[in-house]
Amino acid sequence: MSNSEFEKAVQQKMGELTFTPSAGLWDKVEAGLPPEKKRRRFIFLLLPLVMVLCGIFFWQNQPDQKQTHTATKIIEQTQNKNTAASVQQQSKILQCKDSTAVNTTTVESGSIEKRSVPSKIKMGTKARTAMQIKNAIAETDDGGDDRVTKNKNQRNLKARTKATITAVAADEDTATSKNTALLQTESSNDVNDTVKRKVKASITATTFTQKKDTLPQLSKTTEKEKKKNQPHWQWGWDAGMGISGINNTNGKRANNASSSVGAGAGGVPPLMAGVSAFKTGFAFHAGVYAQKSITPSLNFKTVIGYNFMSSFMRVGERVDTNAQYISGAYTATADHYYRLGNSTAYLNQYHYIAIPLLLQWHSSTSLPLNIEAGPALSWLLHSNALVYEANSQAYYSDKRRFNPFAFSLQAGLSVGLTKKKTDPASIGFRFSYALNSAVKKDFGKQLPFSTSLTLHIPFKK
Amino acid sequence: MFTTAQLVKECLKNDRAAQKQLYEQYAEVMLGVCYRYTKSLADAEDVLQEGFIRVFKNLHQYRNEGELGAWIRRVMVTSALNYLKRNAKYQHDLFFEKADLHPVADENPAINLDSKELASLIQQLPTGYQTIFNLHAVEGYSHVEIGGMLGITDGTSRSQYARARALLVSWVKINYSDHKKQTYVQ
Repeated sequence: MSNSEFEKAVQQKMGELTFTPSAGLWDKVEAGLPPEKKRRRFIFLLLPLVMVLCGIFFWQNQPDQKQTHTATKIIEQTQNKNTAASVQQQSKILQCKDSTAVNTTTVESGSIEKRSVPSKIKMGTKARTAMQIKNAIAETDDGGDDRVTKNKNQRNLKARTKATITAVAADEDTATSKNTALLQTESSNDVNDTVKRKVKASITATTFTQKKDTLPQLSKTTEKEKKKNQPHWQWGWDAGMGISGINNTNGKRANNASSSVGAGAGGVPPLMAGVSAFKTGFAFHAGVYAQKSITPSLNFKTVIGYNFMSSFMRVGERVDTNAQYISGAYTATADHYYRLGNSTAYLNQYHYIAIPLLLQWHSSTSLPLNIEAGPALSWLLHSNALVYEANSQAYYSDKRRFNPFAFSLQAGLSVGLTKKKTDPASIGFRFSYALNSAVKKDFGKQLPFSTSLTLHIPFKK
Repeated sequence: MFTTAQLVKECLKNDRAAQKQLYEQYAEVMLGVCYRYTKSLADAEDVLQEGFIRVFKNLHQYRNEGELGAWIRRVMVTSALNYLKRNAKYQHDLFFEKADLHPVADENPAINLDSKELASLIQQLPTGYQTIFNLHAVEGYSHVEIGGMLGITDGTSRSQYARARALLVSWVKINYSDHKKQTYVQ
């Protein structure tokens, strides 16, 4: 035997040397390792957070909400002023020969403002009205009786009217400017009865033709306004977070407990001692809503969105193996299973696409309160929920045991966050309770439920 | 059940189940390795614990090129050496005196001992001898490599090894004689 042979013999013997570590050694090793990351949960939590942040962003960047309110107030004030002033102005029309153009414009603008027509629409109307007034003045020029004596006044009137038209055209968007122009024209004392009559006739003709086909654009505008005033769909974000759970209506029976015999025969799952009960998990939903007004205080609302629900349970240790199990009509191979026990916390997850159909009542009082309720249809995208297999006394994950569709009832209460009368952003609670079991008939009856804090945020218009 | 590549991949994701599987797969063999470098099973478990933590934290350095078990073994040996250097109980014994070269004895007795008996004999060597004998005879490191690992010259490693081997051979022979006597009596 050579030297190397002795070493080889030692190597061989030492290669066979094994000892069984003490039972608690893995726990000590595990204690020295970095904590296990819950990345999937983080992602699921991140999604609603992003949705909520987006909602807040859109809400805060609504079309200059404060400015809109301010503008609305100004318009309302202007309307009030114009309503009061227009009575006076109309009475002055007959006395003021060169105020015609402006009065016509004022009357129009008053009506336009009352209908809340955008200023862009007014511009075209005013320009055309100005043209018609010019024509009326021209007619007046032609039809004057005392041309010699009144020519100067008429020329003066024309010049003043043109100046007024220019002033109006230059500053058509502001009622204040129009009123200023009106005052300027009113100040004229060159009253000519003939002109007055002609201009009055022109006003009547203008008003008439506006209602007819002379101003088709205005007619279209009116139709648009009517359409605008009709109820239309409103869109926005609908998202929320909360808690969820499973109501196991088999009482103290096992979670998803089934035996191959009982389940196959359609029997009720037997009582399973030591099988974990469901505990509350977390839930969230995020989606896009569409809402339409049915009556002044009643809306129809539907949402299409992602809905996550979960429930905790305690199981034994995980075993990675290719295990075949038979459950009722199902035979499947699982790459892992969990033993019966209490050492591991497991999160049963249910991923749904949900479409609730809700009727929403909102109070007409100063308190912006909304109450909504209705059914919801959900489609199960995926679930990792464990089911207990009585034969092997182990928990398996098998999506085929779950119903692909779920029906539930939803009800909610929310409070508006803004003073906006139609579809304000709101925050509230929503409760959902399943009407049919999450698992198929053979595997028991489990009714998922959830309660969540919900945000309703309209899109930026 | 994971393959080795899958197991490494999952362990790198800090998947606890995979890490436990890897531990369970190699713990018994690696505890034997640690046992040879220490004086008791309790100390060996301390080294094993430290070694596995080191394995999981440095697993990204494993390139799937060699056998995973060999890589883990190297990590365990390194952990054992660190343990010996750090632990007061072993520090004194680990002092390597400079010695002249000693020719390696020609004796090559048959080893009629089982692995645990032989490991017990190796354990009884002075820590310095024990360490160098393990590194050279069992792990297969050269004396130059051992010198680098322990901060000694290769000559010192050689002489320490020669003494360790001679001592072990004598103990093996004694045990062999005892074994023969026992067989004869029976």
